[in-house]
Amino acid sequence: MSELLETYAMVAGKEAINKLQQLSAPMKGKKFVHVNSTRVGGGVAEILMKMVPLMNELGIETSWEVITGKDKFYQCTKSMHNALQGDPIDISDELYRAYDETNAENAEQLRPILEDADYVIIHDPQPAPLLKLCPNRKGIWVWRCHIDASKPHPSVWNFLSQYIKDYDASYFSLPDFSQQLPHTQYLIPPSIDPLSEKNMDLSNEEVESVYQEFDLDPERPIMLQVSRYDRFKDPIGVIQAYKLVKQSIPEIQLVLAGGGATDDPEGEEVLREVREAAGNDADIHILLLPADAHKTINALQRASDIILQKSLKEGFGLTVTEAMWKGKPVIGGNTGGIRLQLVKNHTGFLVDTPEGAALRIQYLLQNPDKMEEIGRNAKEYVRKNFLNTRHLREILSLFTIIENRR
Amino acid sequence: MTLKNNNTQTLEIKDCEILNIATGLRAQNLKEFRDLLQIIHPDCIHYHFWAKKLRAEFEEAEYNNDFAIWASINLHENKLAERLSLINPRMFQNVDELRSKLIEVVTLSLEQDKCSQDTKEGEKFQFTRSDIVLFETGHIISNPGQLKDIIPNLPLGAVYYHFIESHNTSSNIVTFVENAGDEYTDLAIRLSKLDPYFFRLPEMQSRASQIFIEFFQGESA
Repeated sequence: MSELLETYAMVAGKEAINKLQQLSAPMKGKKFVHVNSTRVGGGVAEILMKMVPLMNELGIETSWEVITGKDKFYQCTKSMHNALQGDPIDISDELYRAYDETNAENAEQLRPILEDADYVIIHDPQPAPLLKLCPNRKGIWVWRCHIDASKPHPSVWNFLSQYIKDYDASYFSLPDFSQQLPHTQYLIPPSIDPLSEKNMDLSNEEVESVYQEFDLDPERPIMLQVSRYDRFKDPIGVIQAYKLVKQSIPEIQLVLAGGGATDDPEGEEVLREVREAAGNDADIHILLLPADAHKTINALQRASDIILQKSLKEGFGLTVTEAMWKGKPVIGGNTGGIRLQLVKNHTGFLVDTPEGAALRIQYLLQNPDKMEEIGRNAKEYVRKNFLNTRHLREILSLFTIIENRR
Repeated sequence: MTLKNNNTQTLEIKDCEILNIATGLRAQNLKEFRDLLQIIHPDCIHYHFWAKKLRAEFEEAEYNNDFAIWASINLHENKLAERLSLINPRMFQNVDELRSKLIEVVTLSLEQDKCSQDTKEGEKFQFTRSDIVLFETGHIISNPGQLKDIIPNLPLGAVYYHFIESHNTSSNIVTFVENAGDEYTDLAIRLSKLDPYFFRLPEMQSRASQIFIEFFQGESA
């Protein structure tokens, strides 16, 4: 077993690696391609950054291709993303045209790789038309939806489904997100990589460095939300919850740590709203971190007492998984994949309002033993269910099943 | 004395994982639930009775299958939950009989208890099914005595596969023991009384292991 696989075995167990080796054996030397629309920022890029090397280590020739576009393309795909999450947005023909043209341009470059591939995963709506643009494809093509598409805006879903229906299969994080499609829809939650900079163990010095770097008081409790500045992540609701807690626990500090993704044009506007809501409160720390600040985020999560992910809509909520892996109690919005991760009173709490979040924060800060118990449970829950070794096993299983049925 | 098979039969111990499949069919209330029960894929029925055994749970659920748990937690219909939970899939000859029983119980609740409440958003019953993937464990068993030492160390996926998923096939441990010869008849009877519907997998594993230990201790004495 290679050094990398040995290291994964130490964290996830030898059994997990043995299963990956069994599944990958018939795929050795075959070509596997992932396609998405950003190499940095956001959960998809983070997953691929670690999954692609792991797949190569198992002997599957895996590459990761990224489609690129101009402003109108990203405006279209951001609107598409919001519409799939339920916003009643109608996208103009002009933007749809930019979407189709951008995919056609990218297909010119990617066609040789994609048509030659044995296995292809197209991530999210941005590159979905590539399948139709590769008529001589020979491999198995699967569409991966990372978004909470439980109530998509119908006109946008109708547009998108014309591209998705021809895939061999698709997979979603939760059953609520699946749609009526003419192929099998698998359910595969995403995952975190325990060895990545964002999740690996850190020294005390590394963790403590963030106190000074961001002017935090280590003697006072810290609540943290890590996420893009996006209305669906409800940063304003987090500030409201903080202000409610502040009334009874004045020493509380709040850190909102976010960054931008290259495919998210709304971030700056939301950041402005967040700054306005925070006002002059010196205990609210609004951080705009670069996309590669993985170790800083890791340290912030470990330095905090309670982690929030008060999303109103969420595909899965990998920041919840990351925090759980660090043994932290998490309070999350009662939505999407967060529901799959937070088991009330055992691995965290689900809330529907800022008041609910404030209540749970106060309860936990009053009960340090409970915080510790929840943190312990949370870490084991992630080990069993949400590490990338489980994720890859399910992806390889999916392709194996489809291939055997061909 | 009659031997039920020849002595060359072997049992290859496999671990398993299930891959969940969304059907896209969801019920928001009991009436929709009953309507969908009539048309869902037979694998859905199997899935919602058994797949929960493989899920990580912090406490033992009060009810034994997904249908009953949904009725209790999301519909707040405890009478229905109790009736659904009492349906033991092992007591039915085939999935059609099981489906009919489910529909009968739900119809009774609709008529007698007037259960018409809608679930909240996000709490619909999601009809799901699964594909199974098998993995080698390296264990090939040629006689039941070998299982005494192997069962306590099996991964839970193997316990699920060899006691539940493989029911009535030659991969089932109880079937293997039944076919291993008359000297194992008592062991087979004791194992067959162990109904996996009522146990979580670690408990199932521990009880099965105990039966093997007691049988072979008695035999050596």
